[in-house]
Formats: sequence, structure tokens, C-alpha cells
Amino acid sequence: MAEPVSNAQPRATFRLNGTSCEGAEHDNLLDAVRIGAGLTGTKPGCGAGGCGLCTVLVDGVAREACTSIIADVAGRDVETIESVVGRVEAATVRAAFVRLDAGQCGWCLPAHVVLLSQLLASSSSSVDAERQLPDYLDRVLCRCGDYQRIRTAALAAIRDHFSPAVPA
Amino acid sequence: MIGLIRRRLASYAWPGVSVPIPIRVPDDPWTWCQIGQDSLIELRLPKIDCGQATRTALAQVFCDELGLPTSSIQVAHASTAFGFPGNLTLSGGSTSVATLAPTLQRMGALVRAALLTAASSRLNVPPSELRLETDSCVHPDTNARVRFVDIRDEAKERPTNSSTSISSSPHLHSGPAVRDDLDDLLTGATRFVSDTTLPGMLHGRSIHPPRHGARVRSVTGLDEARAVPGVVKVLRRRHGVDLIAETPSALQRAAQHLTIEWRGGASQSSSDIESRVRVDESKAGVMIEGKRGSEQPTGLRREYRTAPIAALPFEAPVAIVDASTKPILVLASVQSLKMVRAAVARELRVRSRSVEVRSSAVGGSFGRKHGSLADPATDAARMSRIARAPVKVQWSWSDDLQWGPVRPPSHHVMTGTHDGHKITNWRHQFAVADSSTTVKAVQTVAQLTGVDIWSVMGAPLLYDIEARSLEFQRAPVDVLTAAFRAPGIGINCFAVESFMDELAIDAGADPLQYRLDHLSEHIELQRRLAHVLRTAAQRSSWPDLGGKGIGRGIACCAYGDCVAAVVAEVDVNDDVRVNRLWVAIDAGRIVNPSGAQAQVIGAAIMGTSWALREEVLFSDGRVDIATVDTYRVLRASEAPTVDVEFVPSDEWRTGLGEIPAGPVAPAIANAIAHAGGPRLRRLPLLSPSRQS
Repeated sequence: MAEPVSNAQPRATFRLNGTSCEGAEHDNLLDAVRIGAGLTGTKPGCGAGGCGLCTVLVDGVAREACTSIIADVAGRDVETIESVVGRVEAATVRAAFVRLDAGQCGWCLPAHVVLLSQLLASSSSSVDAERQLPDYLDRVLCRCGDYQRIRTAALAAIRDHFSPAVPA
Repeated sequence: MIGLIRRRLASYAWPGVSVPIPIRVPDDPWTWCQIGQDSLIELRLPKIDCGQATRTALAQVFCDELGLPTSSIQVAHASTAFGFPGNLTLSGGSTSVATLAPTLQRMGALVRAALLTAASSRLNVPPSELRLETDSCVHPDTNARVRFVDIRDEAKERPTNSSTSISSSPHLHSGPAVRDDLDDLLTGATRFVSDTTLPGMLHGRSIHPPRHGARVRSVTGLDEARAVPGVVKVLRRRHGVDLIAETPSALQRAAQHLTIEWRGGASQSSSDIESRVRVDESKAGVMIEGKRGSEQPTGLRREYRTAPIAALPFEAPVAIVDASTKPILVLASVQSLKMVRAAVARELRVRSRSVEVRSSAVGGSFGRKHGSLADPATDAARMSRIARAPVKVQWSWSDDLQWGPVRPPSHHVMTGTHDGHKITNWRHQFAVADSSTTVKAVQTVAQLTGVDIWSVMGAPLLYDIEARSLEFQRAPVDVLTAAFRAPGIGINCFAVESFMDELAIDAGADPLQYRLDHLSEHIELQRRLAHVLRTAAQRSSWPDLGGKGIGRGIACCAYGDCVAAVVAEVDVNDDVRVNRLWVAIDAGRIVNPSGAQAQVIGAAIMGTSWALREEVLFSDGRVDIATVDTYRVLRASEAPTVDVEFVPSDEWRTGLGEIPAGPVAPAIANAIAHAGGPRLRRLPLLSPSRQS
């Protein structure tokens, strides 16, 4: 359903997963993603930028959508889980999580995939990625308490990414 | 008579006893599964899965007998349309696998027998020469096959054979099974109710009182709210204001115009609640064990306290209701389909059978979504009828913290004497705010008898001590309380197992050996407890003090007929840090080891989070704004490593998703004391200003 538009509201454009989008400057980015664009892979959480569940990439940098407004991303590239899953790094992360059965209710998992894919893409080596991993894992809360498996799966993804198995 | 009823009720909280909820389990296999036009078998379950992977475990049990891999069948999300009796649709207490597995074993065997017999008639070969494939029965010798969809009517008409044996399948594959829903969860493709949109759907928001039980005194700004573009209705009610709009942002803009003054309702602050929830030694409580007036022990006396905390499932309560359809459609993120159906039917004044409740993936629950307490489904139903369109009501974390219930706070007075070797007298008096608020019948019984069984669980003594007494006092408060994950044991185990440790130290004994010395090998439950204690200790190399400022603590617990022990290692050198937990658990037969291990680790980590910092504070009956803004959930870097050991067993026992959360808190408190830190007697442990 189209959002009622107030003429008084200045508007701004940004690219959402490569497609041009427009919204009122003061509208919340998470609402624009989930409700405006119907991209529901990004999950709502604390609403205060503290839980990391709504993490998206803005010009390749992880950011909580709930505390961002459209003006913050005007003219920039916003990427959500729906786009990130197409990356080779995300495929590695997903495969490791499925193999190691990491995740329970799943509400936090898309945010983990977004962040860990970014970690793999931005790290120079497995040592570099492992050094940064604790900070990345701390950005997303998991109420089911599955941190141990998530950490194990993330380490496996790092190993798989930087030392892919050689086909026999 | 009332005394008899009280004793009977309290016995259900006894370790080793499962509450005998009468459950009528359908014996018709075609209630449990259907064959679709695509010839695939769809398993229908009455219970929801909110991350425990019970769908995977139960599908595995069914498929073991059916003789097909779990990847060959589909598992439907629970719906009242499946026709299961109401009490079977309640998901809670970690009972799904234990309750349903024996039935699903039998149903799998019956479906297999029915399909093979029907195919045998079609193909003119003995059933023993046939085998099942994904969508067909196949005769391997001739390669003849018949699809399930083509013989489903014959299969359904065949009477179920009560003598059909189970565990006869040649295709048993119990063991590691991969969840089929995990990749969709990772990619965000899974549709939770929060992610669901129906055609023509409107959005609703019911503003509830900030203080439990308050009513609206006055509202200003109604006209301005109604004038916001996209707003459909704004209605003042006795307990709040309903807003309906085309978009959530229109709702938000409209709500900003409203100023609501409230009257009445809860007025207690955290300090009032602590004063109210206090054992009154001049008042006679309900004697659950022993007799009041018997000789009072004069030895060691300690008080323990637990503060209110929130369940906070990360997918906040949400529901979509379309009251314009027949039947009325409810999509809800809940644990009990029947209770939500009844609540919606009451709200709309229709018969329950006019309402269909469907579940989908549920983003965490932990007991919070059990029952119909302050549930958005009733709000959505009311607004859908008014708007004559589907309406979605989506709460936020902030809404849930302010309007949802908290775990009931408790206060414990423990007194004990010992002769240096054995405890000679044990007295436990405890006061707990109401736990059984989510189920009206249980609440009524608690009010009439004074025994709230969900408050009492975990309090009856596990140890072999002859002179003992247990006295319970209901201590209702005016804020909304309800039991959730680890009912009773989450609060009572802390007091019991902390005090056991203090008595051991007083006696100069090793806390593990002291516990073992009070467990009899002749009593089955105590023998099993001793076994898990020894197992956890062995895996942790107990006592292994590990250096200055490092300490180990141990605790154990029973929940239903499941037992567990936890060893915690803490480091108090800087801030308190929990390094490791070792959990030994006897939870009966394990269907899916990976899923079971995840549940144990998850409960242990959630228990650690509760133990260290989680607390809901109240000011003048409202949840304190600091709580709403900064409710403190454990982060990855704070989470200990958890080592899990299952005791092998062939019994079906109470499930395992609750019990580890009980002994974790006392194990950590005991470890802090053994590490040279203070003896902490209040949960959460890390709020030093409030420790007594």
C-alpha cells in the first residue's frame, strides 16, 4: 500500500539493493526497508541501535537501520540481506551455519549473515578476520543463547573462505 | 479437605513427577498427516516450534517408522484447522517431544502399513515386497510403482491395525538430522507473522495502560489524530485507545497527537515490590512439607531474593486477524493456539469453532507467548471487526517490556543445622508473586488453595534429609507477573542450591561431596542426581581451583522427571566473568542430539544472562524507562563456553529446554564465593548496590 505523502515533507532518494528508492527524509530507514519495500529479511529489535538485528550495509558499512532516517542515506547504497545473500561470502557463511546447525529461532540470523559476509569481504586474511570476529559477533544479540555455535560456524566460514578445500 | 487439595497440587511440583495434564491424543493417523496432490506426505503437528527444532525431531520420529528420510516429507505449521484437541495445541514446558513422540512413532508405522497394504492391492504383490519412496510405493523387482496420491483414499479407508508394531522399519535413521528450515532463516526468506502482509491489510495499535489495571481518565488530541492522512479510526476505550491506519507510520503520527491521562492501576515501585514479596514469619503459609510449629532450627539462617525479569522474545508479540472471513482467520506468534482462539472468540462474541488460528515460524517465545495475557490477537480482532478488513497489531520490544508480564519476584528464608557431617534440619520458607496468571483455571486454583504450582516447582528438597519443612506464601503484587522458561526452578533452585553450598562451607566440606553425602543410592531420583553431579564434576575436573580469583561452583536440579547438574567456572579478578559451564543432564531419550544440545546450551546461556544482570525495575507501577531503554541481555563476548553431556537413556522423559536455566544461577553464585568473591544472595548477581 502506498504511503500517504505529505507535501511538506522534503524527500530524498537512495539506492536499495541497486534499485532507486524515494522516501520522506525523516522517515525511518527500517520502516522503508520492511514496510515500504517489503524486504522483511531485516528484523526489528530494540529500536535503539543496540541489538544489531536490523543491520544493513550503507555504502558497504554495517549500520543499524532502526536509528537511521532516509536523509542519512540520501544518494547512498543501502544493501539488505536479500541482496547480501547473492554474494559468494554469504554462501560460505550460510553453508557453515547449516553444516554446524547454528541458530535457533532464527530472528538474529540474517543480521549475522550480513555482518559475517562483510567481515569475510573486508578482511585481508583469516588471521585478520579472526582478530575482528569478537567485535562482529558482539554487534548482534541472540536471545536463544546460541552464541557458541554461531561463533563456531563463523570460524568455520573464515577457514572455508580463506582456505577453500581443494577438490580431490 | 483444602489441606488435601493443597498437598495434591503441591505434589505436582515435586521432583520426579510430571503434571498429569489429561491429553486426548487422536489415534487416527490421517489426523497427523495428509497426502497432497503432489503425492508428498505432509506431517501435521499440533505444537509450534519457536526455535527448539522440535519439528525436526518429531518429523524424525515419524519418519523412522514410516521408513522415509525426513527430507521426503513436509511439516506443516500448527493450525487449529487440523482438529487436534485443545490441550494438545499448547506448546510449553519443553514437553513437545516427550508428549508426541510415542504417538508419532505409532502413526508413522500405521501410515506405512496402510500405504503398503493399499499398494499391494493395486500392484498385486505382497506388501513385504514393496518399499516406500518419496511420493510412491515401489516394487523393486518389476519397477512397478503407484503414487501415494492414487491410493490415498484406499489407505485412509483401511482400519488402523492396533497390533501394528513400531521400531520395525528397516530405515531407522535417528541421530543427527539437519533442520530443513535453517537456510531460509539465514537468508531472511522465512515469513514470520511479523513479516506477513495480507491483501487489504490495515495496521492497528492499541495503546495499553502503562500501569497494569489502569483506566483512561481523559484523552486529548483525538480529532487531530483522526485527521492524520491514512488514519482509518481512532477509538477511545476504557483501558486505552485503539488506532487503525493504512500504514504503521500513520499510526505513529496519529499516536503522537494523543495525550492520555490514566487513573488507578498498579502503583508499586521496585522497593514496594520487595517489601510485599517477603516471607512473613508471623503468618501461616501453606505447609508443603513438614509441619508448622515443629521445632525451629537455630543454625545457619540465610535469605535469598530474586528480582523480576523479562522473557523478551526477540520477535515481539504480533497478530493479524481477519474478522471478515469465515472462519475468522488469526495469524499469531503464540504458544497456545487454543487459548488464543478462545480469547479472540470471547472478544468477538462468537463460538470458538468460528475462529481458526494458524502459526508460522515463531521468533522466540520462552513462555512469554503462552496464554492470552495482554495478547495483540484480541486487539487485532476487535479492530478488524470495526474496520472490516484484516488488521495487524505489531508490538515493539518497548511495548512488550512495558505491557508484558515479568517473572514473579521471590524471597526465601532458609534455616539449617548440621552435625558437621550431615544436615540435621532444613527449613525453607518462601514467598513468590503469582506465576499462574496465564491460565485462568490454574490461577483460580492458586487463589482458592494458596498453592501456585508454577511458583513451587524446584522448591521441594531433592536431598535425603529427614527433618525438613517447606512453607509457601503467595505474595501477589500489583504489577503483571507470570511464569516463563524454567517455571519455579528459575527462582527456587537459586535459593536451595546456594544454601546447600553455604551449609557445606559451614561444615568445612567439599560442596560436591556434601551433596553426594545427602543423596541416597536407594532412591531412583537421588541416584540419578548423584550421577549427573559426578558426571559434571568429572568433566570439569572438579574442584580444579585454577588460580587466584578463579572459582568453581556446582548445583543441581530436577524438572519433572529430568535431572541436571551444572559446574560453573568464574573469574572475579577484574569484573565477574563466567568462563565455562559444564552441564550433565539426564533427559531421557535424545531424538536429535544436535537440537537437544542446542536447547541445553541456549537454556544455560539464558540462565547466565538472567543470573548476571537482567532485572526489570518499576517506578510508581510503571516499568522504569531505564529498563525499557537498556534492558541488559548477555552479549556473545560475555557468554561462557558450555560443555554438555547427556546421560544415555531409553526412557521418554520431560524435555530439556528448561532445566539448565535452574542450576546455572546458583552454580555461578557458588563459584563467585569459592573464587574469593562475596556470597551473593540476590538475583541478578551483578547489581551490587542491591545485594543484601
